[in-house]
Amino acid sequence: MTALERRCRLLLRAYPAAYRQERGEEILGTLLEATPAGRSWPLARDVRGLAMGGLRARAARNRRLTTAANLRIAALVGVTAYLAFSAVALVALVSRAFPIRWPLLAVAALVGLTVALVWVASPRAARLAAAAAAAAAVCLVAPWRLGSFGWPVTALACLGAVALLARGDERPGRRWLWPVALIATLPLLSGLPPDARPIGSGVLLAATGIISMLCLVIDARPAIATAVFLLAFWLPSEIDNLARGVGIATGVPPLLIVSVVTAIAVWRLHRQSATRVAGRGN
Amino acid sequence: MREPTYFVLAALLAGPLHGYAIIKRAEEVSGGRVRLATGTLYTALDRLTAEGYVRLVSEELVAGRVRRSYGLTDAGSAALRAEALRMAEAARLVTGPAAAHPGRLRRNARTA
Repeated sequence: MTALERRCRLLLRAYPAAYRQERGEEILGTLLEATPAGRSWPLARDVRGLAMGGLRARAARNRRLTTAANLRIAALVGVTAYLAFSAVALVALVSRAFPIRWPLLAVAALVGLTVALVWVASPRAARLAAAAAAAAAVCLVAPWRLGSFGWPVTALACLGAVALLARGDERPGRRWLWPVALIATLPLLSGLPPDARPIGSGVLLAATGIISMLCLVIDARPAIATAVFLLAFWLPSEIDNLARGVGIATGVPPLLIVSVVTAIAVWRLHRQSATRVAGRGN
Repeated sequence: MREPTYFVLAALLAGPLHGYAIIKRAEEVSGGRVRLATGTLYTALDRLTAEGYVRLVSEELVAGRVRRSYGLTDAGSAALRAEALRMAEAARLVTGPAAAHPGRLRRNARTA
């Protein structure tokens, strides 16, 4: 394989995998023919054309689903990201305590299982796991008095949302796993020195937010999923503050920014979606 | 119809062509003005195929790679002809006899 072909193949990665499988070799052949002999890089206009073509092909995928179906997928990713984060946080909490609190570990395992089933099993199995995790959370976590009403209430709301949102043919594709996995590593930052923890979590959340915003033009769903996660992330402390009679801890500006970004993302998603169902997709 | 789309369809007027041949032919028929990027060509082909203006005519293996040839459909020929007529009408406004007598052009516009 020549350096030119290797670089052309790299550029073709701008297109979705399914599209590359169907048209990749054909486009590569044309690209190699269109590049003057002796060059080790394609022409600038071809680099630009492939980047734009790839983005358009990616945007076209959303058009197979209606706005409601796309919104359902985005919200499902947001709440499962929060549940994955919660499961890892519970495990981190249990691992620091002695004796080991097995009921908390059981709840963490059930919540983790619910997240996994959203991706690998039928919607019915995900709904059942969500219901089991919710029941376990009520029965097993309540006696431990975690010192917070907020987390159990938010986790129950998210499990209920999974039970409501996991239905039909549409489920998040595997490419949605990276933000969920990234967010799930947040509680592991507690292993960092105290000074580095806010920086570490800030960098992770900022990276997720920036990537979601960059995707907004071609796919508004990551921005909506991030907004749903952030709202679930802030909710426990707000519930606790309300219970104590204290004001909003998160601050109005972040809530306002997230609300405005969500409104823009929903408007973009409506433009990116089909007016009626045209077939399966994710 | 955008200019690259117009010249992709115009390139296929003489018969079916594969990707690189469409790029060369579009450049030729546009007098060197339209140099299609590979990504732009395939985006246009996808759209034109979905709209029924272009169809896949043949597939062959060249140096181990699939090479597909595309041809104009009847709907594509009709759309291309309609666009050419529209542009000719627009051009006549500027280059035709009416343009040589601007007063008549203004009178025509007032009475229209």
